[in-house]
Amino acid sequence: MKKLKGIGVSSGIVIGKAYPFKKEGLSAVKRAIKKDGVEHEMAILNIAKEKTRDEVYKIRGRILEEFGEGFADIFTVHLALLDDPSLLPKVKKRIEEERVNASYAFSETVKDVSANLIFSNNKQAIRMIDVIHDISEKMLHYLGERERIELSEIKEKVVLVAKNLTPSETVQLSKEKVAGIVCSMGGQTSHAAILAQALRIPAVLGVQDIEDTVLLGDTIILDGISGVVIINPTLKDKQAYEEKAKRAEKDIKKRERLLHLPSETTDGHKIKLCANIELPEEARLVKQEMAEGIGLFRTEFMFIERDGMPEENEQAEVYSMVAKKTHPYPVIIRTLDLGGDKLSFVLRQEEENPFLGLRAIRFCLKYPHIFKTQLRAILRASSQGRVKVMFPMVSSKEELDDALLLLHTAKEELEREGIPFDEEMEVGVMIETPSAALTANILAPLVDFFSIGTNDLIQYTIAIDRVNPELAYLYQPLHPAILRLIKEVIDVGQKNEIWVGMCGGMASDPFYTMLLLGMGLKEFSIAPGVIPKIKEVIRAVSYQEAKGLAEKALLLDSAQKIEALLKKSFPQELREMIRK
Amino acid sequence: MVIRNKCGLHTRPSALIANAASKFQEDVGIKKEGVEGWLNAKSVLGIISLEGCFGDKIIVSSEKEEAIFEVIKLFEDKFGEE
Repeated sequence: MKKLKGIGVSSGIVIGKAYPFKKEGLSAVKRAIKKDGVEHEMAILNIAKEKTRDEVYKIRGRILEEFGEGFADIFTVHLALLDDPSLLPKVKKRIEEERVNASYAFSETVKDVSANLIFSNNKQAIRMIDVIHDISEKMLHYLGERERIELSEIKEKVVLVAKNLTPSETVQLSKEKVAGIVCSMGGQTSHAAILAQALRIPAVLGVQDIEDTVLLGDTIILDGISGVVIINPTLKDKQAYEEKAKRAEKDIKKRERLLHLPSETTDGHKIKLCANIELPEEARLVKQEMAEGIGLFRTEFMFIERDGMPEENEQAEVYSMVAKKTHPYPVIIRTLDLGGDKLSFVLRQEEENPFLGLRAIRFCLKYPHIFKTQLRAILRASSQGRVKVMFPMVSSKEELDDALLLLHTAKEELEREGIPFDEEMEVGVMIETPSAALTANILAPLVDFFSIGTNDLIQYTIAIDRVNPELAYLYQPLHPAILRLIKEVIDVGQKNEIWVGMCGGMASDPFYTMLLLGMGLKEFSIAPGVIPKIKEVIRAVSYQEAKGLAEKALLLDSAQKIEALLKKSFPQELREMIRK
Repeated sequence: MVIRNKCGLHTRPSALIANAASKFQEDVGIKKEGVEGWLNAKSVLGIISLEGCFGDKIIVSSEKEEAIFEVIKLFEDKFGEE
């Protein structure tokens, strides 16, 4: 038995038979060439180059189709390398000057280049060397230097053990035959890691000397999360990992099954689950988690850490991209939710109480040029998909009036300029101040939806600074005051026939799901990672019992009692979800 | 130009620059501010050796203006990464 530790790069637990995959190095036999043989060597070098290029193109095409551009781009580097003026031209020079065969000249040049990269201490060198090896193995094969061991010829299901795997080798692996991968080289960001993840093959890299430690047919356990590798495990280890593997597999299956099931209660009450995102790239998570749109797209990232304000075009491009990616589902774009303290391009003013200061909608209304630019950009994006806009931190009708007026002006401008936008774009208010919650009936007729932001609502209602650790015990989402405000907002929404959702932290915690559902919340906008959990809770309860629970909870006089009630009512089979 | 993509000039951006520069007959040079010596912008191996990181200033030169513009555009797009 031998226990080793590497870097887990692709999750999953595997117990299987080891298949060491040994490759020859990059050496080639040296042969002297007569003067009239030089031309021949040049010719076979060129042919090998073209064959290699063809092969890379083919692999690239396949990857593009199966995994998309991000992965295919790895092979763009291969192509650039083949045309690199400091690679093949150097080989040619060597053939000419040293009068040696093409494969030897090639292998020596590649060794030089690799050595330079390694000695340069360059962080990117490892990936580049990966590509160089990949290209070199193909070139040496086409130069007639060697037979290739085809990984696609592996017959039974094995755990592949190798020094390193080139990108082309990794993509040739099929999940049917390769249960797992262990390499002595590579790490979290290496090509093999990225591709193993895409192929969903569990992998541990960076396990020192593994290829010399393992023999064909050894039993090997690998844990793609912790990075543990055990060779010829004891019976006890084996049983423990079999158990672990079973559990992990069950979790994955459950997740996959949930993915395609609707988020509805046992009595058929449907709930919309949307994602909160911060960066435009995260829009892809909507499809991945099968969410029904983006309930909160924070736009702050575009404004911080930069010298000037992002221009309208730049903003419109980003918003449009997200709208297109999310289509046919909607995206709710929240206008800037920052104070001047975070922006370097406006006059900084020290504030004694920034949380109660000039921020979000207040800040935007004070600097209408910043606000209008953003509104125009959002409107422009609304012609590219289903876009809705939402104002944060509204605390009075006047603020909402001013914001709507500015939106109206922006629309008029665009219309005059002949720029398309969605005239019916829905507008909503984020309810996160007690004053907004208490005057929800005044605001409701002016908008199309409410989205409750619980984090700030709790802080402002209970009057606690939520970043002060001394006060953490007072941060109670279940405080009767909070529940009453939430209930009030939902009821006002129903009366005014506008939908009410929630994009705050409370919606992302499965412990509160049943309560919120019972209170009549229609949309939960949550961290993408917790969508399966929330869905599981929704599917485990009935709307009737949730409503009963909410009614009871609203009659209780303390957060502790409400918490106890929620604990008692939480679906038995999902109890392990509760953290408290 | 300033490198604005978070990961810097890693393999993929280097390959994109080399591809862009290779479209032109004329020489295209590239260097990092504060480091001596021009490198061939058509060589992915050369560009990688710049070890360009987020925030580094990169200088490109060529007789052919269009070649410079092509490379600048890649930087402005953050190599399509963000």
